[in-house]
Order: sequence, then C-alpha cells, then structure tokens
Amino acid sequence: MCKIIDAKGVNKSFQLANQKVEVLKNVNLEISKGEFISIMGPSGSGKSTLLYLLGGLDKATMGTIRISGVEMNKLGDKDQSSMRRNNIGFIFQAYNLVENLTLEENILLPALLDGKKKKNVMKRAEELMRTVGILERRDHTPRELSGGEQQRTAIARALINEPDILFADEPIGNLDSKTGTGILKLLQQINREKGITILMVTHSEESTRYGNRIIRLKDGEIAV
Amino acid sequence: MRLFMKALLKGLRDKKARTALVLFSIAVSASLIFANECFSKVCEQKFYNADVRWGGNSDICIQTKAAVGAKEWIDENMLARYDHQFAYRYQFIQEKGLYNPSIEKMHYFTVLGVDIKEFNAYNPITLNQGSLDDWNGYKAIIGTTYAKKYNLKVNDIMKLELYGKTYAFKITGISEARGLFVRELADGGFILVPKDTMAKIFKGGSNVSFIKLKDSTQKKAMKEKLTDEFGEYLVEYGVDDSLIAAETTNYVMPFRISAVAVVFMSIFIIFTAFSLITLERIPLIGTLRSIGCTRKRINRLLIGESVFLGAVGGLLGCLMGIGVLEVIIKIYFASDAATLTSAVVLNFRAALTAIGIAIVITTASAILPILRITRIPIKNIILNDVWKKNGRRSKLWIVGLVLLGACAVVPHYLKISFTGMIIGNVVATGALIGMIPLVPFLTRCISRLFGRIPFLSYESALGVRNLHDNKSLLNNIQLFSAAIAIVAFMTSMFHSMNADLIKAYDRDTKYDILLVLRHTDGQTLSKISGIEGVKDCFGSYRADPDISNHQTFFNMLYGIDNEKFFDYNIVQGLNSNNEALANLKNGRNIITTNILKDKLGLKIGDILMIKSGSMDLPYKITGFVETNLGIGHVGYISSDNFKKDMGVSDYSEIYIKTNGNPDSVKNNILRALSKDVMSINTKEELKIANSDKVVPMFNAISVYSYIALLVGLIGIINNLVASFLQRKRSFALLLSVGMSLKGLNRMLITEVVGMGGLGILFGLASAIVMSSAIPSIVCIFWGKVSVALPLSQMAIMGAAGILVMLLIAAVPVMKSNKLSIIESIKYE
Ligand SMILES: Nc1ncnc2c1ncn2[C@@H]1O[C@H](COP(=O)(O)OP(=O)(O)OP(=O)(O)O)[C@@H](O)[C@H]1O
Ligand SMILES: [Mg+2]
Repeated sequence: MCKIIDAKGVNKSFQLANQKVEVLKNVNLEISKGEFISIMGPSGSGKSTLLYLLGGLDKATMGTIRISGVEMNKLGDKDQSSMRRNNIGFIFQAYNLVENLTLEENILLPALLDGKKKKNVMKRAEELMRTVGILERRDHTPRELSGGEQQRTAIARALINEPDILFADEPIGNLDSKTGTGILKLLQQINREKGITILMVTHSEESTRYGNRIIRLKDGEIAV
Repeated sequence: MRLFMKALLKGLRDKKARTALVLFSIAVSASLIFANECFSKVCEQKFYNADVRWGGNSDICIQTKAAVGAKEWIDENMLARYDHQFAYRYQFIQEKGLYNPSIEKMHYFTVLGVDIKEFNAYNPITLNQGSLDDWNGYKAIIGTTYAKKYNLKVNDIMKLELYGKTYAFKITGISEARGLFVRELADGGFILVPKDTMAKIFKGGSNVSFIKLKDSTQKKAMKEKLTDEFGEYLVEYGVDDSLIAAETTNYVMPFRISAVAVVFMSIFIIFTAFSLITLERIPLIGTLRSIGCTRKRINRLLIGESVFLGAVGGLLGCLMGIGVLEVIIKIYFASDAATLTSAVVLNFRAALTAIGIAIVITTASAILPILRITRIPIKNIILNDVWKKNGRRSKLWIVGLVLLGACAVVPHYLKISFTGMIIGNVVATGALIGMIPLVPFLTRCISRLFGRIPFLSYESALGVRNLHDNKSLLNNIQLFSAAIAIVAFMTSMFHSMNADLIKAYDRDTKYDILLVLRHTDGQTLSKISGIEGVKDCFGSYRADPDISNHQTFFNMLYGIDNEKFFDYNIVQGLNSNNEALANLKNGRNIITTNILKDKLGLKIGDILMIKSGSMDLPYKITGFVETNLGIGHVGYISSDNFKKDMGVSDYSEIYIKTNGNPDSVKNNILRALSKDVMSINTKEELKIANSDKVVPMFNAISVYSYIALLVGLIGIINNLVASFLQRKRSFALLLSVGMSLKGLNRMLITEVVGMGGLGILFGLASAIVMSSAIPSIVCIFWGKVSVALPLSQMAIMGAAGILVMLLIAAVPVMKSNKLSIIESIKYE
C-alpha cells in the first residue's frame, strides 16, 4: 500500500520565556491513501499541533514528515504554497472565510491563486456548491451566513483543487449536532466517492463512526 | 468609578502607539498655534526694534521737511521752552553723503552728525570693533553690513563727499546689526560722524530732534501742541504702536490661515483614533451600564479623558512649538535673524492659548464618537449587536460633491472684500472636507475598474479589491489625499502669487531701466535723453501716503505729468478714463484702481482723504483703472498737485527705454550722471529683487504644509501597523489556502501603492478644485491674481508620493514575512 503521509520520530516543543514545553514526543505515523482518520485525545494533548505539522503549516522540532513522499518543509515558498493549493485542503474549527469575498469567490480562491481560469473551474465550483448545499447563496458574503453554511463553504473551498488529503480540525465543534452530522456525512461521502484521504481532529466518539481508523493522543504521544 | 478610570488609563497605556499618535497630532496643532502666537511677538519685537532704531524709545520726533524752501534747521530755542516737560531731548544732523570708490560701487549713505555720548545714551550702539572714545574731527562709525560689502576695517580711511566736497574720515568703529544699524540694507546704510564736524561742513545746527516726555501719557496732547506750533516741521510719534500692530497682523495672518490646514489634519486623525478607541471600549461601557452607571456619567468620564489628552498634547505642543518657531524665524528672517529671547519663548499667554485650543480641538473631535457609542442601548451591547446591519451605502458622497462643486463655482462670484476672503477660505476648507466622504465612493468606482484589468495577477486583484472593502485602507487614502491636497493647494497658492508678480513685471513694466536721481530739474530728462542708448524717458513722483478716511494706504501714489506715464507703466481700462486724465489737474482729482474700488466700496465722485504730514487732503475720484502693482493700492494724481501737497520737487523715479542692452546703457548713465545717481536698476534686476522678497515668506509658510504632510504620513503608518494586527488572521488564512508569501507581499504592495496612487489622484484633484478659491483668498493682501497651477511641482509631488508609499509598504511586507500561520489562525 502506498503511504500518503509518513511521519517519523516527530517532536515538537515550544520555547516559552523560562521553560520548554514538549507538546509532541516521538510521534511515528503512517497513513495510506483513502483512509479517513479520526484523531482523538484530551484537550491540550497536541492534536491540533500534530495536524498542522502533518499539513505543513508548521515545522517540527525534530523528525521528518513526508506527504506523497515529499518533505514539505524543505520546499521553497513557491512549491510549498503550490502544494497547499493543489495537494492539501484545510478545514478549521472557526470557519475561516475571507470576509470581503462572496461564497463563490471564497471557494474559487485556491483555484484562482493557482492561476486557473475562472471559466474553467466554474463548473466544478458549482458542482461543489451543489454538493454542500449552498448554491443559492453563492453571492452572499460570509457575514450573512449561518455557521453550518460557512463550514460547508470551507469544505467546498478545500476541495476545489481536488486535493489528495483533507485536514479538518474539529470541523463540527461550533455546530449543533444535526448540522454536524450533515457535515460528517458529507466528509464520509467525499472520502468514499473521491478517495480523498481525510484526517479529522474530533472530540466526540460519535464522529469517529464516520472514519475508518482512530489515532489517540495522550500527553503528546500516540496511545496504543 | 475609580475602576473605570483605571480601565481608561490602562487602555491608553496598552495602546501606546495609538495614544502616542493622538498626542502627537494634538501636539502638532498646538505647537503651530503656540509658534504663531510667539511669532507675532517676535514680529512685534522686530518692528519695534526697527522703529526705535532712530530715536530709541523717544516719544516724539521733529524733523525738517524735504521740500525746497522749507526751513533747513530746527530752531532749538523754540523747543527749549518746553524742556521742563521733557525727560530728554537730543538732536543730530542728517544728510546724504556719497561714497565713491568706483562708478559701479558708488553709494549714498545717510550720514548722521551726532554727539556720540548723548546718542549712545538714548539709542545704544553696539560695536564689533573699535571704540567710541575721542569723538572729534573726521572720525566715522559704520555698520557691519556695509563694512563687509566694501571690505572696510577699523582705521581704514573712508572718503565721503558731503555738500560738494570730499573729506577723508577715519573709521573708528564698526557696529553690529543692532539699534540704528538693524535694517541697514533696507535703510541704505548709515555713517555716524561727530556732530561738530558735520555742523562745520553744512554750516548749520540740527535737523532731527528726538524727545522723551517726562509723562509719556501726554504723548498725544504734546504731539498736537507741537504740530500746531512747529507747522514748518514734521512732528511725528517716535514709535507708532498702532502701526506696529497693523504691520504684525499683516505678517502673521498668512501663518494663521495656514495653521488651519494642520489643525484640520489633526482633527481628522484624532476623530478616527477616537472612533476606534471607543469601539474597543464598548464591552466595558456595557458592563458599567448594566450595573447601573448612567449614560451621562460615562459621557462625562470619556470627555474628561479627551480633555486630559488635549491638555497633555497641548503642553507637549508648546515644547515642539519652540522648535517650529526657530525654523520659521530662521527661514523668514534669513538675513537678519531675530533672536529668540526667553521673554518670547516663556510667553505664558501663548502657551495658555495653545493648550486651550488643543483641548477644544481634542474634545470636539472626540465628542461625536463618544456620543455615538454611549447612545447604543444596553441590550444591544450585551448581545453584541452593536452595528445595525443596514445594507444601504452611505449617500454622504453627494454632500462631498456639492461642497467641491461649491468651491469650483462660488469664488467666481466673489468680490474683493474681507467677506469675500472669508467665504473663499470657507469654500476651500469645505472642498477639503467634502473630499473625505467622496473618497470611499470614488475608490469603489475606480477599484472596480482596475479589478477588471486582465493581466493583473489574482493577488494584485485582491489587493485592489481590499482598497475599498477595508476601512483602515480607506481611512489611509483619506488621510493621504488630505495631506496631498493641503500641500498642493499651498504650492498652488504661492505659485499663483509668484507667477502673478513676475507676469505683472513682464506685462506691465514697459521700461528697461528705473533710475532715481538725487536732484532733478527741468533739464534732467533732456539730459538723460542725450545719453547713448537711451531711446526715451519719463519722470514721475511717488509716495505711499495713508488714506485717512478709509484706514488704509496707498502703496503707490503717483504724481504724473501727462498720460505718457502709462506708456511706461501699463494699466488696463485706460480708454474709459480719457476725460478723467485730461482733467486730472483741474482741482484735486485722483484716478485709483478697481481693487480699491471693490475693497472700499468706492464710486466716481467719492472723496479720498490723503494724508500728507499732519494734513488730510481731499481728493475726488474721477476714474478707475485696473492694475496689480502694489497689491492694487495705487492712485494717480497730477504732478502739480503732488508737488504742492506732498511738498517735493524732485522726480521720485525716472523710467528709461533703451535701444541696446540695458546693462550697457545702465553703465552709460552711471558714467554720465555719476554722483547724481541714487539708485539705478534694470528691469531684470528689479524682477529678481521683487521675487526674492516673497520667497522667504513662502518658504516659511510651506513649513506648515509639510508638517501637515508629516502628520498625515505618521497617521498612515500607524494605521498600517494597527490594521496589520487586525488582519493577521486573514493573511494567515490566505497562506493556508495556498497563497505564496510572495503573493501575499504582492497583494500588500498593491494595496499600499494603490492607496498612494488614489491618494495622490484625489489630493491633486481637490487641490485643483480648491485653487479656484485662491484669488478670493489672497486678494486682500496680494491684489488680483489669476490661478496658475504648479503642474511640474504637482507631478513631482505625485512621483514622490508613490515613492514614499513604496517605502511605507515595507511596514506590512516585513511584518508579513514574520507571520506564523498557525499562531495567527489559532489565537484570535
Ligand atoms: N505556540 C505555542 N506556544 C506554546 N505552547 C503552545 C503553542 N501552541 C500550542 N501549545 C501548547 O501545546 C499543547 C497542545 O496544544 P494543541 O492545540 O495541539 O492541543 P489540542 O490537543 O488541539 O487541544 P484542544 O482539544 O483543546 O484543541 C497545549 O498545552 C498548548 O498550550
Ligand atoms: Mg485543538
């Protein structure tokens, strides 16, 4: 099986004013293409930190992380951002949309940044908007939407460039359970139909049902 | 409540940069006000010093008249009768003496024969070199300015021609540019020699006498008494306080007007800063209100805070003002810098005025945001529902358009008058204010247009879009536009004034050489006509008397022999005055200018009382012409009337047209008339001398507009830093979805450069609109001008503006390179 994510001996520590906080200790992880992984653990155990490291948004203090065989941190600004646009999608707990752009523009953002022509990606964007159910609201700005609608927009944006991996940090943390379930179902559907690998941080055991593997973190280590 | 105050103070301390900015802009305004107040003190002091250079602080001055046949010497016995009322009385002989080292350097000095002990006691002399001892025989004291010019030192011999004979004087002292010598260049140079020596040469007594009364309050009565009794002499005040006050106002007025621009910038910055500050305090206010604190009380506290800030800023401003004062004085009085005495700097009243105005400015700009916030109902604050979601866009831009339109149109209908000047100022300021709400509207229109440019990278397109979506960027465009508008408007004003001066010379002056002779008679003009290179010449009489029934003055009152005068000095509207010209000498008739007509509301047949000595002479207006000379305060009477009423017999000036190069003709004239020439200048020389006169004033006032620019730039940088903090999260977000750092930088640079470009565009455009008001603003103290836009300077300003913005762009770019994505996303 081909390893889409391969982390070896990953350590992460933060240097505070007078002490060193070790957040991740010797984490080893292999994830195969097409997996839907739930990361669980108590608050402060380092889940988010791990997710951002794997997604290349931050640098590990020690160890190596390969995504599709590439060490992202060794790449320059250009290649790194290109990978972020094309190979990776992020969904955060707070929806993180660009405030002054409409939903449609938010979704198109990674594609246009990649230099793609608007008319070439429009069809796909519409399809995504239909899938996540915000097609009628495409010309609204984020401020005018509910939390669930915003989160669905964020998912559509993460998918516009057909990434290989989707990272989601508590994507339903701010939503009521019904809306949350809708989002989870959506993720499951994406994982199954498109074969996109998903790593999702979550607090609820309930959510893990949609995934196919659980990684538990405790005090910065993977618990067995 | 103590808690609340603590919270307020903590807020100020936490936002150090912003508090500093607010304090700085208050301080700048205060400093200019302080500097203006002190500057007027400096001017007063300077004019006072100049006025007392003759007679110290004497109360009354008696002089013989210049007219032919007038008494040559003062009758001292007559004066001695009043000695019991005088604290002192001292007199001297004043005559012209020719210093003639070579024909090019020939110069007439005013030679005073004085008793040096007496003179020094009442009007102290400060010597650089030499001494006042052994004051007898052929000794001379000269001023440092002319000593330098002629390279004269103590013990040098200086040959002076007095009363037709040449005498060798030994220089025994060189005086600093103080006292009598304070304005030497303008006065044409003084030489002090022993009184006995002068008396022997001129065979006379004294012709100038200064008097100090024992009881100075009797000044007016004594002057009247002496005027009656000494009808054959000129009796005047030693120092005329009202004249000093009037002169000072004239000097300080332009500075006062210019300070308004800076105050405007300050108010704008303070207003936006306070809007932000109060916004942040909404939660605190909500909490207080919910525990029962009244709205009034909160208002009082917040206003109290702004008063406090105003006072602190005002105090700082006074300190800064000393620096500003130094600069404008250095520039303004470049040649003879007035010294800053502690009496001027520690001017308590100026400081109080500055601090008071600072408090008013601060409170006035803070009060609107404060009231807006405290008016929000508690419920909304607690529910965090502060902003009514009204999708409607503000229509304020229409008001802005109207204000700009008013400025473009109204001045064309304004008359030359004080009211006209006020209205001109108001519409110009209105245009500046009107630009503010127009900026968001126009930015939206323009950036939509630019967003369409096909080859723009997507990051740049986002930057262009942010220009009108981001409040802080919009605010920056407003700030920058206002700063540019102020600087460009001032430049345009000076440019128009200066261009007019030069134009007036080129267009209206039709002679090549202006000559002033010591004596003239019936033969003079024909003698000059015979000199090689002289094509034609004409003489006129000239004075600058007051117009006593209108509290104003003539800069030039000409006595003219006939209408040929106007071949040398062009005026417009002469055709309709043929009859008036022909009848000028049939009675006391005068032709004056349209500017005076508008200013004073005159009409044909009105009487102008022209002051000559102690007499007021009624002249009937028979015509009006159009001229810009002497700010339009000009009048023409017949030479016969002039000679009779002003008591002169020599031509004041002679205009010469030449056949060849004026410079060589000038030398021919000098050679032919040598000692009779008091001054001779070609048109080119006069033009330079005249524009030099106004340049220091322009430069000094420009300091104010540059300060406005500086305040604007500092405001912009502060805004950029503050908004970067606010936008950090959205930048991190863009990076997380795959914008490269380079792309982010491109977006930020596009924003700042777009901001600069729009600011320059709007700023220059409003400066051009505001320029329509220039004629009405300057007419009172400058005469009629037509607007001349300084296009090349504006282009330079535009280029410099973009350059500065590129530099400023470094602020967000450098910050963005240090941005950590997750930290910005995780911690809001
Ligand atoms: N920049 C930082 N500086 C210092 N400490 C940090 C930093 N970022 C994270 N930490 C610490 O690392 C630990 C793990 O943080 P992380 O956000 O990964 O936890 P988490 O498992 O996602 O928790 P939660 O479920 O609450 O989101 C915490 O103790 C946190 O305080
Ligand atoms: Mg977390």
